[in-house]
Amino acid sequence: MYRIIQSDKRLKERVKLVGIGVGNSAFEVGYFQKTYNIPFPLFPDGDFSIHQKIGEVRTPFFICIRIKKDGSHEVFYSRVGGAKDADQLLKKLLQDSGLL
Amino acid sequence: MKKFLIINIVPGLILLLWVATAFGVSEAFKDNIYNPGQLKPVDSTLKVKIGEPAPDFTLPSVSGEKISLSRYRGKKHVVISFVPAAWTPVCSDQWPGYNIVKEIFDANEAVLLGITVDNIPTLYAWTNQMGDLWFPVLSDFWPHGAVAEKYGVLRSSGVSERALIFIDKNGIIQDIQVSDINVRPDLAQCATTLEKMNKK
Repeated sequence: MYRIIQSDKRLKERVKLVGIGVGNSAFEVGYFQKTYNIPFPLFPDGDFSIHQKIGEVRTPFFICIRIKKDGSHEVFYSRVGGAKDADQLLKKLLQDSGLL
Repeated sequence: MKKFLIINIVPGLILLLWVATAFGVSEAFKDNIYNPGQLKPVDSTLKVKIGEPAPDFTLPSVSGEKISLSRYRGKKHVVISFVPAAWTPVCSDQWPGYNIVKEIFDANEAVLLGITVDNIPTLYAWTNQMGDLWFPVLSDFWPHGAVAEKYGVLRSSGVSERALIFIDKNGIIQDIQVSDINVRPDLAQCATTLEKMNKK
């Protein structure tokens, strides 16, 4: 999905994908990123503080946030489980968000 | 959350993906993890010391093979990972993490031995959920916790501490890390100790 976003100039400017490593330290996230060649930013959440705020969801978990013109934001998608088809999921997210 | 929103002040989207080496919170382990709650951080007294020979032992492994510590003498450094119990949150996170850093063990000529006081069928079912672990998983079930007791990491409840014992190729203990049972030890500390041990 990240590669699809990066290859589209318009999407690249307007859609950001980041990952959060639940229970992982900076070392672990860095090592994971290097080992599995993850091209987007990953952030550690070693003390589970972000995970707790979200509601201690199971992983992988996906949340999409729409940033509005006035700077406010809105969660429009949140779901547990990995995507089987990145193209289809991205298309759905873009449609739901109003960007497409 | 605010930290991430700052990076995109133009109208657009932020896609947040929660990933984890933390199997205890993964969908794969859903409804199969027993949470023991907060426990006394450490509940035993070590019987081994840094600089002393590591007590030898022979234990059955999940693969069916019996494994002795002494088989690695003169060949590999050994890290023993005692974890308290199968099917609990922190332990279910800890061992899959070692799969990601296998390269660090290889680079430092070390092997890992995972040990719990659970029996073989339990360990078989539990570790199967983790995918292919590259290291032997040993059962210290009978006589119950005998190896953990020998090292002084058997808690009064009958499970072991969360402990890492670093043993060099000569069979000498180079480091002992008994951590808070409620917290998974950071892989960085293990990596640093392995490098230090291999440079000696």
